[in-house]
Amino acid sequence: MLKLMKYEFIRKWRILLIFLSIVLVINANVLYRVLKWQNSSMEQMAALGVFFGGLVSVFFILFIINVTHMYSRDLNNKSGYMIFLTPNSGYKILGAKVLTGILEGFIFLGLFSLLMAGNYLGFFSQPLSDMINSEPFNKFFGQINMSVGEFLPYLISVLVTTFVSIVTLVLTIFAAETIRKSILAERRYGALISTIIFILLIWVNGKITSLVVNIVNQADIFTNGIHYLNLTTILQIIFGAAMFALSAYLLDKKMDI
Amino acid sequence: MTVLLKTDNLNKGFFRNKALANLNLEIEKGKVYGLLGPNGSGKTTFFKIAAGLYKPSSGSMLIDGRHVGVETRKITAFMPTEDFLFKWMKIKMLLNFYADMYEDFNIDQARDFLEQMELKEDMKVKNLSTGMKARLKLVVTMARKASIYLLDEPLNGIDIISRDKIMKVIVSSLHENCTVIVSSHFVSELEALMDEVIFLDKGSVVLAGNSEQFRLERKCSIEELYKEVYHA
Repeated sequence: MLKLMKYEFIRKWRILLIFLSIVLVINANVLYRVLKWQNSSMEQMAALGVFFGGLVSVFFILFIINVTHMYSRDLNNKSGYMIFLTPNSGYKILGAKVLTGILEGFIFLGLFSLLMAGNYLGFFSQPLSDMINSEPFNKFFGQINMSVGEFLPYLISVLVTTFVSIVTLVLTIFAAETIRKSILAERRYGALISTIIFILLIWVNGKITSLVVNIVNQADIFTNGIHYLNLTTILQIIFGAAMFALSAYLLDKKMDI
Repeated sequence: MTVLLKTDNLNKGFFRNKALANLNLEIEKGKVYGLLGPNGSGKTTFFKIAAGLYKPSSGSMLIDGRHVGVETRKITAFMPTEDFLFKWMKIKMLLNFYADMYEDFNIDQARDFLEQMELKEDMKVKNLSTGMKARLKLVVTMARKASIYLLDEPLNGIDIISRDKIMKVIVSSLHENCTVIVSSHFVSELEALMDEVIFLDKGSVVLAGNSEQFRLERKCSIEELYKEVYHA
């Protein structure tokens, strides 16, 4: 599996480097314009915040497109023979794609965090410190009424739930694509039907999650919000594992490449 | 003789077309088979099922006693007709890829074949001509020490000089107990190589047997027999 991942990265490193260069140039341009701006530091930081908000959205969309393409390219092109002729099971091939996608996601995330930290700490360290020590800021966090020790598990749970949900989304996309190429390969409008199946899978996932959370809520088992996040994470893992198993099974038993 | 590949009422359909229809075949170890037939007779479908790229609609195919899958892909070397090699790779990386993926890949043998085929390791796959790509496909396939080689039209789109080189590489790669199934429209050029011939039509075997015996009994070459079988 590691060998499959190695070649995925070798294939992509140039594109990732070009993408990184473009982002750096755009960021430098935006930062230059913001710093030249004659407004207050707070307004400059807010403008930069808008830029980073946009950037994270673009990163997310590109990440999903990139991971989807990584899988569909091998299913739909003859170059996929290079992978599917090797003595690797569908589980390993799919696992390599998912792990490559996750690692790429972390690269995107790391890049984003570094850029944001570099921008704010490098150019707005004093205004940032002033803002953190300002009264409205302290008042706002004072209202949350939570110590750092209590806040940290919440933060970790939110991050884990988000991560697992994104991986499950990727696995659902893979499952829909695999169904199109296997069970629906000889059907007319297979692409349309698989899109409908994808929407249905997302709907079913959401419905099951909200149903279970509601049942647990009515039973009044949990008193802490963090438990609901953990429950959502577990449900997403189960759904993601089901999507993975379905795709790998179809790859091994039903798919004509 | 030991049977290496066996099909039992193998069927494969695409939409309403039947590519293979109740195909029953036994391929023995250590022989070179010519899989012959006109376009659409089911040769490529047969190869792709053996390589694990296609799944049978019904019936079964066993290689070395196992259903086609991960284990059989370890001992099966398939050369498809399609242009399937990664275009973004240089030949050197392609050899490394094969060495990483296949335990039986002999990289020194591959380098030797490259030289015979007048290909260089620093060449990029996307810049190769059709003939060069065909030669490269054969290099990476035959540099494996596989139990069974499946060569689908290895001479397609190749000039006469290159055809000789390809034939030399195929012959020099044959090792004890290895089995080769080769399909080609250039029947005469493969005739000397084939121990057995299988004639397919509409997904079924119409004639099969020892090529030498056919030549003696029917007093004609395999190419002439081909014309006779398909009423050319």
